[in-house]
Amino acid sequence: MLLEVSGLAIDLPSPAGARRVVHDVSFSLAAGESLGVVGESGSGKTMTALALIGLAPDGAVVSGAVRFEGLDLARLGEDAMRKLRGDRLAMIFQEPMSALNPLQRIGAQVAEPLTLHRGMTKASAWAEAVRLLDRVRLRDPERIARAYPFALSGGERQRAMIAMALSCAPDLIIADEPTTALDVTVQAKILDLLASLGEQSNMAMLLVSHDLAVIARHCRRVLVMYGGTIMESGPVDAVLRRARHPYTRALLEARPRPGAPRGERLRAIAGAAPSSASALVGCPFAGRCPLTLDVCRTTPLPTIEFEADHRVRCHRVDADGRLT
Amino acid sequence: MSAPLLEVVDLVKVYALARPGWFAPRPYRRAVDGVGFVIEAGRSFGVVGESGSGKSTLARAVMALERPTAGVVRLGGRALNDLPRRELRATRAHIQMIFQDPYGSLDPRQKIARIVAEPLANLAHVGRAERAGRVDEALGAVGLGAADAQKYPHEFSGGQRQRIAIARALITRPKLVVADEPVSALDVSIQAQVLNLMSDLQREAGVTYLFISHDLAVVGYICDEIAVMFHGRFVETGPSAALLDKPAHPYTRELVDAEPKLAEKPLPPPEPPPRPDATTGCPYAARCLHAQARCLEAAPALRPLGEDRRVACHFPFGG
Amino acid sequence: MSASALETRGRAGASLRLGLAVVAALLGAAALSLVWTPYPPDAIDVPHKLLQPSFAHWLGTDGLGRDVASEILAGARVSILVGVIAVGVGLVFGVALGLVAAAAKGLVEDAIMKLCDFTFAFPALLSAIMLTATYGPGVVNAIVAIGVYNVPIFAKLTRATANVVLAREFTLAARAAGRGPLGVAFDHVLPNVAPALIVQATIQFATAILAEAALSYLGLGAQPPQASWGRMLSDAQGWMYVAPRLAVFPGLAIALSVLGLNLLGDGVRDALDPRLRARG
Repeated sequence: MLLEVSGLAIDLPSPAGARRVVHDVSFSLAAGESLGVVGESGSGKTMTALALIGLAPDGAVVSGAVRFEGLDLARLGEDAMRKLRGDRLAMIFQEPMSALNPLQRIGAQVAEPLTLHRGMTKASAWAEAVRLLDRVRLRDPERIARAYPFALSGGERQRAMIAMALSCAPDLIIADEPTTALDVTVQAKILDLLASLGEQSNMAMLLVSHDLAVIARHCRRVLVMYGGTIMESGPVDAVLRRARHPYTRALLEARPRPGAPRGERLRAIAGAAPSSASALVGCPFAGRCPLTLDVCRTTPLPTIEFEADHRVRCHRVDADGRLT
Repeated sequence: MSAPLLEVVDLVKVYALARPGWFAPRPYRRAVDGVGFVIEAGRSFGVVGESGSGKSTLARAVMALERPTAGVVRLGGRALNDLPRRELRATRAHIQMIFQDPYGSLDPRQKIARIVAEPLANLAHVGRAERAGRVDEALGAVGLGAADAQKYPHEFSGGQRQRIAIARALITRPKLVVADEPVSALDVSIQAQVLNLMSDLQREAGVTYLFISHDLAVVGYICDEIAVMFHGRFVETGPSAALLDKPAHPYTRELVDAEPKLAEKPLPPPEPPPRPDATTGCPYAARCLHAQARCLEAAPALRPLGEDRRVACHFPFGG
Repeated sequence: MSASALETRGRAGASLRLGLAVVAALLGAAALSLVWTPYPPDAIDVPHKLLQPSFAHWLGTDGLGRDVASEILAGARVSILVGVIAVGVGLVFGVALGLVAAAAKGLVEDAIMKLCDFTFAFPALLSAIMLTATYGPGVVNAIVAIGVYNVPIFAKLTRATANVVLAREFTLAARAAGRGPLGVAFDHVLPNVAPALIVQATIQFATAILAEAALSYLGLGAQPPQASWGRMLSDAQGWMYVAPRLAVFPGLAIALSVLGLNLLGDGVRDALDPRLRARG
């Protein structure tokens, strides 16, 4: 197992005391595998991704275990984490314009991990950077390497970020909404690029997104998060075709269906997502869920594996995956 | 047959860009390059396009928030461009807008009551007492309570703020509402709530929508007719179901294919062969998988295809 | 900003509390001096000159026998007056110019900004000296001079922040609701620009106090018998080796006032910022 997360919990400081934004998250990721984390705002998906790479905001308290290639990342000091970041573990962010230094040429930024982790000279790192920019299918990579971020389009910047993330051939790449800020045609190309690069180099990918369809297209397994907790997890096909958790089903039904008759109402979920799990004992979806019972609010959630690798956390689902 | 509610004819909006050098000629950008369409009362017309397509500029020009370089925008038969300022302000009661960013479209320093009542200032005959009643009515119609009127925007979530924006847009009981990406910034489950609300309001109040978005599924849900915009021009128009099901223009097809769908796992989109940037010919030719010599020479005009479709392509599908 | 801002823990809250305390003391001193001072500040009493601080004279007396404590209190009055009027002038004209520049754009904006740059080209003190040299010394002229150089500062700040506000969608929404440019400027732009202006105003207030002290020190500001901290510093120069404390007291008063105002500015900025940052 490349990555094993168990009992991850993240508390953020707030004027009213510590706020638990990620609650008891456990999952594993094998080498070369792609895992999608889907959730809406407040689900804790971004915070989870940041915690893995040790970039949770100042003041955040991370508990639980994050085992990566045998090391417990949650216990590792900042110096050791810095050695891993960019080398074995890389991250791509949502907004390429703010994630790239506007005052530094693209080539220099892509070359930076190489000089840092591989000890390459500036010249050879630059040459390798140009090769990487070509690998991410950028036209005229030399010109791009010499350019500054403002001269590039959103899609080009994101490809440059991918090149930077890949430079040291990491074992795991974490992508946090990498295409949300891009046009849909560009989005498709970038995600396909990531998937094919991953396959070429046996690189594992953790893809965080709010869009279930994006994850369905590019990941083999998926975690569905809500209110800081994993609600359902499993192979993408299984979760999509045989979703058991009321929230997963609601998400699937909320999208307008192509070909549906005009005027058919969308199945909305009334209410809004909680902003934190805080002192929650039961299920964060309780109250908003149409199947809520008292037990949902009072009892901690069980984890039910009702078919191979397909788990759901719900009080209303029994061991065979049927609704009780 | 009465006059259509909104009629746009040959709309052009050109922006002057900064000169690259002191003596270099000033470059121009044709954000909207000859767009024309008609919306009948009570219908929903969608404009789909990616960033840079000019759809937001189109929205602002229809709202008369920007003066078009050429062309006419007619609301209920009257041309908006030539109206003197006073009459234009009065006309604004009939055409309102919902903006994209629920976090930016409400003044953070004003209470909700004041925000929602602002458009009422134009209707001279709305007295103070009646104003409060209308605010409550509008908030109620979007599922918010009278108590919410005294709160500030930062006390609400994104979805609730968008509802407030809708309440503001509807308070003057406008005939036409221009919605510029109204649900793009919202979570999927909230999007559904707001879309349901918008379609309910259309049914109850007979509002006409001009709905602008990059999201095909959303536009397909709420609109009767769709226009696909690329580089300032409409490349295809037609009834939404038919257009999304059997796109005639290669760009529409590219958009439809790129949209991630849950059902199938499609093949990765093929890359078009690299072509030099063209200055003549079809603006889509550089990206088009089916481009031929003719496409690089002459730009195609928007021509009828069948009885209710128009396409700007020399070699449209189904043509 | 509300009472809860004062309860904020950490450096931000401390800045605000401390700043407010000092500024309150300053205002209190000025107000007090209007009705009572231990002695009349201009009462010359040469037989009792250069006395050490004692119970009778809390801070001692100066070279002409005037009670230092009374002079400090009265000097606060002048400092406040200059600060308020000069910053007020700067605000009124500067904000107006800045709003016009931001709304009008194009040539008008460029012209106004160039005018501001032109004014900046002259060091403030130099302009003040020129003005007072031409029209004569005195507090009024000092106020005008300091006020004049505040105008471009506020104009530039207003224009920059107004541009940011005008780029946000709610101003477009106001136009869509039929508001004219004046309505948008007063109802939407001004309230959103106000926090930055308030913070700058506290900083300019401190600068005004320093400028007034400098002018008075040079003999171009408050004229005797009017008490002024700057004038006290100037007088103290002659007695540096005999009674250095005569320089310390007015110097301390100036330093504390400036410090307090800067702390207030920091505290206000921190208190207003998170509130404006929209919480989802």
